[in-house]
Amino acid sequence: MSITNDALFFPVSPELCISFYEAIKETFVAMFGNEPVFLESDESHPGEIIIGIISLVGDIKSSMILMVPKSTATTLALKFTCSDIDYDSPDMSDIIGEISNIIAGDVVARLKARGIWTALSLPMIARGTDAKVQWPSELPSRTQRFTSSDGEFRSKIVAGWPGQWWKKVSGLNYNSAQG
Amino acid sequence: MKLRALVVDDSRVMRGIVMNSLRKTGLAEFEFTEAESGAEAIAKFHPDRFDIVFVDWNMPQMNGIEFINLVRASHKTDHIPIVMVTSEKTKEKVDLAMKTVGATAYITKPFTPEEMEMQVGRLLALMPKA
Repeated sequence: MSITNDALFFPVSPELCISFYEAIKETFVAMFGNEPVFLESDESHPGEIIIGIISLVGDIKSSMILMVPKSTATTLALKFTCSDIDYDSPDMSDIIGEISNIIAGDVVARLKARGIWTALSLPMIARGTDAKVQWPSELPSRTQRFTSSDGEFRSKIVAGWPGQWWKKVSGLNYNSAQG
Repeated sequence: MKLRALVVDDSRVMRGIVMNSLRKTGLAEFEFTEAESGAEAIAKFHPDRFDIVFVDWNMPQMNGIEFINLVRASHKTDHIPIVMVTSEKTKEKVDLAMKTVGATAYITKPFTPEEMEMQVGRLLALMPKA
């Protein structure tokens, strides 16, 4: 993955996006043994997906939404646990929550190295078909598509400011992640 | 050597991964007790019941730091090795867990079986022989 062009991250700051994208890359290499490839930006959410949502709160506020199609989730779960995990099971929520948690933990460390203090929320998990997570339009966000040998997935990075942090979600059923 | 281990994580999958990793080290024969929060772990905690504890940081109800604080507050349990297993990896968090609160070892997720074996092997070498 090569990250060189600030325009790639518009309208979210390059520092925030790079922290998330590098954390995603390193997490996938460490956990699954392959490096995700950075594809074109893509706002579509086709098919059945499981979504991990985790927030950072502190000097800045931000959230990452990790959107994983069913086929990719099943493959990642097999690699992570060395056993078949039913897509509809609570264990699948656990796994997507844990991946989100590990990525966000890495982002916290990367931001700290830039002098920005943040703390992690607990992850939340949502599931749906053709689902999308919506934030207020005035909050900058950036959706990015990745591919790897385990399948495609997307991340959405949302940047927020103190006093302007809320979310609205449509078309999804929430359950608390055990991540 | 038989070790009674308490594994505390709100993720059932992560508890399973920690337990499998420990079994694969071959360092000891482990007997596991699981808890999904610090509060449940405290409820199960009892002097002389566990030889070692593995605890996550971010959990609902009572987090890993609060759990360690409670365990370290009693002279009956303050000697038990506690391994923090977490995605928190900043130096400040490591220092808080290790220096301020009193975790015995710190493993960041995702961990490799080799990291688990090295950390636990180091702790076992320091433990009094039965």
